Amino acid sequence: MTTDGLQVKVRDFVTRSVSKVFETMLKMKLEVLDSSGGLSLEGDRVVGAVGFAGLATGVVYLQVTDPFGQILTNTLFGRKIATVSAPEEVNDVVGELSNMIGGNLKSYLSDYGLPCALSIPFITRGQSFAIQTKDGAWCERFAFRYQEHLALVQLCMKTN
Amino acid sequence: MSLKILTVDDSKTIRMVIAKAFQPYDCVIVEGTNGVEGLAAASREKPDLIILDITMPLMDGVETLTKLKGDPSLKNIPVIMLTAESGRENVLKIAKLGVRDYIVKPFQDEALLEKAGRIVQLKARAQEKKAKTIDDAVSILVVEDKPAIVQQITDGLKNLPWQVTGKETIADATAAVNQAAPDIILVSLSLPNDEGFNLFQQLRSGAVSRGIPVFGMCIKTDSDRFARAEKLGFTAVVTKPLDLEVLKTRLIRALDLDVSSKYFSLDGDIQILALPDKVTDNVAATVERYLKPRLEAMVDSGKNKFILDLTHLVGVDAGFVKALVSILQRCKDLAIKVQVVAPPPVKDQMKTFRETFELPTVPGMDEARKALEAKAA
Repeated sequence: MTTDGLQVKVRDFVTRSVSKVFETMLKMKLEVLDSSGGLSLEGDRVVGAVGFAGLATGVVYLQVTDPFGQILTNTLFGRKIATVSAPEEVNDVVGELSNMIGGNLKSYLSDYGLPCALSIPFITRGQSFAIQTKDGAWCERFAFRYQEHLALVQLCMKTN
Repeated sequence: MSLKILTVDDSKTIRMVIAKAFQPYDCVIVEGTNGVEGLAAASREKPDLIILDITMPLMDGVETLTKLKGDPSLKNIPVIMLTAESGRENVLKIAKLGVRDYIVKPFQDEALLEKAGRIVQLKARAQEKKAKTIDDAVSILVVEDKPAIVQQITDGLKNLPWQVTGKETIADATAAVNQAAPDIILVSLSLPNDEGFNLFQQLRSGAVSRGIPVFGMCIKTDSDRFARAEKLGFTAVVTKPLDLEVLKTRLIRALDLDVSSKYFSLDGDIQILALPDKVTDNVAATVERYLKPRLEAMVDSGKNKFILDLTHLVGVDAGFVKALVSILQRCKDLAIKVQVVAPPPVKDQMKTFRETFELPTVPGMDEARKALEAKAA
């Protein structure tokens, strides 16, 4: 179970953290969207996920479309935007961005008194992606926009 | 000489971001994808700085750092730790490890460079130097207590504008390097008391000498010294008795000399490739290496005339035929007009191979030029 107070703080932290990761590494200023409207991604997507386990347990997911993943990869690697990067490279970039978001969250939770350990990132690709939870886990969805591209972050966690 | 920075991180993304950050500076980036590779690279390259991630498969950053600190030859290399976790506890843990600094992801290039700049002296990368060619002077230092070997090398390379200097002791060799760094060093591994290996270690730890390619020389049957030199990271190991042609080829490769002028030349708007008397594997590989960029440069500049000059060729064999077919195919792929010059003896030999039986040729360069003009008209 996760308290309301913690949820508010974590919600705020994740929003700031995702914005900071994109701005610092990619110099992309994200627009924070109201995710309650059921925003979703169309077409092929790349999903990076990082788990954490301890007094706080959960997973944080970063979903982007494949074209946006290409843009992120080309930007990070200093390539021309139109370059077609290899899927493995896009996977690695999305995985690393997830790792940074997860790592920062893990640190925040640990400083909050909820120490936990971080997993290595893992990647899923596909066209349809849904997360289901059980056992009273709290899930929160965050939506961001950069130009015409969406980035969705989903956090599911519970405290022990 | 360039700084050497070792990046150890399982994320290719991070390794590329770091390489990009240091791109404007005169440094060489070496990479490892985990602690095991990182330790091997550190031993081999003796970097000036190590940037080490904490969370990695096989061997994580903490274990890697512990092993670095436990190795007398590596313990003084400064380390910047990379972490995705910015929490207080993590920062304290890192501080206790004995690293010079740490950086939390996400990070900006400027932050990384500032931290690195406090540890090593970052110098702006100079303009790209023009590559040395086979016609440029090269200085070779041979550290060998047998004058006959030094003479053999000098005689074997006399057709090239290369200066060979022999020194019998490592003291004299070290003084020579400090006075004027040679382009390449050949060291006898049979010097007494392992002096050849000691010299190599000295060279690798010197700011000026660490970037000079070093070849080891040992007797062909001395597999122990051969293996030891390879493990230590000698640029190459050549065996005695020396094969001077092989040595020359390996020196050229180690120095990354542009040898294309041996075979390629321009006559107005015609690219000429003159093959030597025998097309060995080395010759074929050299031609292959330079042919593609030369042909692409031709196409880029609107030229499309190519003469393949076989005037010097003595023997037609399978190796030559294979190289010839490859050259002609490459020209065909780029719609380049080719004329083959083959004197009668060569033409007769070519008739004995299926691939070249009906290949049209002309006997001389003048005929070749006229034929190309006629094709262009």
